[in-house]
Amino acid sequence: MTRWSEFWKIFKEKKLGIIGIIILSCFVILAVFAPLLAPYDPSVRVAAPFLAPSARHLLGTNDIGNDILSELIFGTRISLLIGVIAAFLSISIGLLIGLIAGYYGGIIDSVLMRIVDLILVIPFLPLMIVLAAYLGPSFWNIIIVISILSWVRPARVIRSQVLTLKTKAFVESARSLGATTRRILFTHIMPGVIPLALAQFVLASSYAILVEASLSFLGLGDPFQKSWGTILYYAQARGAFLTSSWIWWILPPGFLTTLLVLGFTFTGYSLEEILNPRLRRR
Amino acid sequence: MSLLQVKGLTTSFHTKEGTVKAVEKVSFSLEKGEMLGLIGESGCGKSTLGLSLLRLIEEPGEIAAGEVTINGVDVIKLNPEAMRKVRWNTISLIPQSAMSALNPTAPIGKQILEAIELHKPRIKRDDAVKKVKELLEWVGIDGGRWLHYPHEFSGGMKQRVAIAMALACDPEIVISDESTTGLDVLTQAQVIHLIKRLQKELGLSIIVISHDLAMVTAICDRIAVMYAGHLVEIGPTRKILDNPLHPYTQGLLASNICLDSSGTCSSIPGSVPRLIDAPPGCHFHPRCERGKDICKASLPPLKSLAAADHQVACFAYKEGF
Amino acid sequence: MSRFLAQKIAQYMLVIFITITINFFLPRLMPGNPLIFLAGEDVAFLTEAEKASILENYGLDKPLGEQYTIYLKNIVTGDFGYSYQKKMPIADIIKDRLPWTLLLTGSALLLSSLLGVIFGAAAAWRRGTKTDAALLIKFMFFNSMPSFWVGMILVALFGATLRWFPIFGAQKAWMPLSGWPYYADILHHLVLPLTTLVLISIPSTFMIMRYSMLNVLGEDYILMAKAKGLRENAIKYRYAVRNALLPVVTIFMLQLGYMFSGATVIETVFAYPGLGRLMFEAVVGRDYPVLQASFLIITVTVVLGNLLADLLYPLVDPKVRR
Repeated sequence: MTRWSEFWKIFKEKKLGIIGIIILSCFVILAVFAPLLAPYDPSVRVAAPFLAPSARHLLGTNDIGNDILSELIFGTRISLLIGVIAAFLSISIGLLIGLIAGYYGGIIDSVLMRIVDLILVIPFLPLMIVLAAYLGPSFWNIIIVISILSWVRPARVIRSQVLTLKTKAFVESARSLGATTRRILFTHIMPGVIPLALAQFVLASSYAILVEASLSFLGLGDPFQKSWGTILYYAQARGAFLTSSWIWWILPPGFLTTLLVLGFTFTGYSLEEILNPRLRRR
Repeated sequence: MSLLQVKGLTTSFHTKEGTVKAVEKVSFSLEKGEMLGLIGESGCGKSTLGLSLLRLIEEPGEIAAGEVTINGVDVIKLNPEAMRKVRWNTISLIPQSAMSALNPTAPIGKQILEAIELHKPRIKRDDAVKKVKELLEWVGIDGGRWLHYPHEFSGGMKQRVAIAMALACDPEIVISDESTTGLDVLTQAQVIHLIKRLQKELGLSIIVISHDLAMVTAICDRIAVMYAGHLVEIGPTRKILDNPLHPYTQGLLASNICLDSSGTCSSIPGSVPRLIDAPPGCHFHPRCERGKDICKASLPPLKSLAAADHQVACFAYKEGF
Repeated sequence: MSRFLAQKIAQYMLVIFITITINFFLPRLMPGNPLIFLAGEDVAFLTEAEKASILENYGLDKPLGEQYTIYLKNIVTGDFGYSYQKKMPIADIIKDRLPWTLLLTGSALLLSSLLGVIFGAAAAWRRGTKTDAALLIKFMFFNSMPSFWVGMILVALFGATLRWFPIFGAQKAWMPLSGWPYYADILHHLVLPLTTLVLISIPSTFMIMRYSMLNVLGEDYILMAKAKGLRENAIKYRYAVRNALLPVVTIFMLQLGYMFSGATVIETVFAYPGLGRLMFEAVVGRDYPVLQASFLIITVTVVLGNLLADLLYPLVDPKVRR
């Protein structure tokens, strides 16, 4: 407990991290209270298509007469959820693989790390596109496709942390002779790995949100649960960038994506800076 | 006049938690052709002192006060460009670990060559290369290997390359900063022998910074003892060995205090204070058996006591003792 | 050295082999009509007899092992099948598209590496100052923008509104040009997509370079360079940047894959006729064989790029020379 409060004390001094947390909180509020905040139901035709912004429709309407502002507010839920769930799954896989490889070492470690090296070479987005095209556009398919390929880097980071902790933990266990594997893992290694996994999770979220946006933009997103990327897919398909409608149809979704990703990046960077002393200012 | 004269040198580091005086009010001198040993525990400020002489202290550190006079010129007052020319020409450095002190992506010879050409702009390339090869041969390395890269040499050879590099511009003073640490015993002996030759054959003045008491007493003419940023005792090696005055020096010589970083063999209670919350007064007093009230309150000045050339900073001795 | 290279080549061969295997199994594992997953949605417009002959060509009745051998043989001989959507052999389509992707990614890789190294070195050199913080935040911002969105804004601003640059394609289709005007036209079309790809690719090089340079600046040999009285620029370039470059070159492999991923979406925005745009067209038309072939070719290109990087690495790192 004291570890965490001490951690928070250092974190509070990182301006970027605090800004990141504030940004993230705003988006969580937006997502949770979307039905209260959005003026219209985003899936219902509420006005004529292609309307310019007005007092009734602050960001105008899209090609089928949905209110764009409401689409954006509800889109927060989809973009945020897909990002966070995909990141959580990738980190869980990464944590598992990293722990196994780092803790057991030997052949298991070298086989796992060889696989990691192989996956790192494959261009990830083209492979995700292929997978998503076969699986078909849906909320969960996008999550599966992202997390299947995104555990690799966290696994590497966590493995090297486990390797450093292991040497310390074994000294400890030699003293208290007869400590079980599970005891060593949970009392010595896990506490050292969890904060790092948290930082990796935050960074993986920012990554997953961007990948989701790209896949949705290529038409692989769920058309019934529109994320910001899907909104941009339709804006592109209807040639919004050729008219002045790009200002209210294209700018806002991309800007929100950037802001959300930035929130995660700031938070993750500050966490990493605390955990990795080599990044600290000399 | 002495070749090198240091007066009241103070080097501080400004950290988040406060200002640390890594070196405080240090004064001593170095004569031509003399070898001075600077000894103390790790973290006592001896390396910082060495770097301060070259004015190589970086942010957040700074030389806060004092004079460093070389050949009558106070180098602390020089502008950066003038100081740049003093470096290596007058005073050079054999670094702590030559393993990491050589640029891994440049041939060793070129690293020596660049120093020569920088400080002697009018020298011909052929003559400079000849000089590089001579220097390498002098430290016992085949001059034909001058275009080899650092990773192609052993640890001991790299250390010798570093010595050759220190000699590139015929300096008057060489600072050897823990240059035998981390080497095996045999290589250590070779390097020490080489440093001794610098003094004997080339007549250089050398400051040997080390925590190896036996080595320093074996080769140095004089010894200076540092504790927690202060110079606590300085004098000819013989006199320090026969008649150590400062309680800390006495502890060192009685092998009561170990200078290794492990510090496990210390039989004097307590350990080196963290300089950030260093006690006022004599920094050694919490560990000192002879500590008095005055030791807590004010800093004892470095004074000549028994002899003019043997100075100690301790309140346990009266004036004119 | 040669052992290292042999190991690398084996690794790359394995990557290509895995890619081919994924391509082989995906359509065969999908539930539903295998014909659509094997030959694309457009086969629905064919007659029953034609469908039957396609199915026979794939030899679905043969054992899996035999199918796999046929599949491998076809790919090795450059036969990627036929696109029923585009009514062309896939190998021909790829031959048309590959040069454009190489032009876009190649020039973006050079430019973004150069700029990333320059800015990263500058930021690390001034570590802890306002310049450093400003650069860091600026590139974090660039790194957070969806690549296609940057492209869309550039098109809307400099293409549709200001009309400085063409809004789609790689050259004027209706006007056959030659000589200088031909190259100028290609360059004119390249500016916007290239700018987009460079903007979103600089940050990763910047971050690696900055981090690497920060580590190098703490090394003893930098202190030694100062002690020797070297001038600031000599220390900065000959010592710090030179050594900080090593990890940047090693990370080239990841950068290349990243670059192709970025190009895939950006080509879509600009209707740039490369492999990425081809993938998008294949996704829209559910033209699975084209999708697979594009993926394979992109992977092979990335692998070859890596091999090139491995071959060039000894030039920057003397430790692995001779």
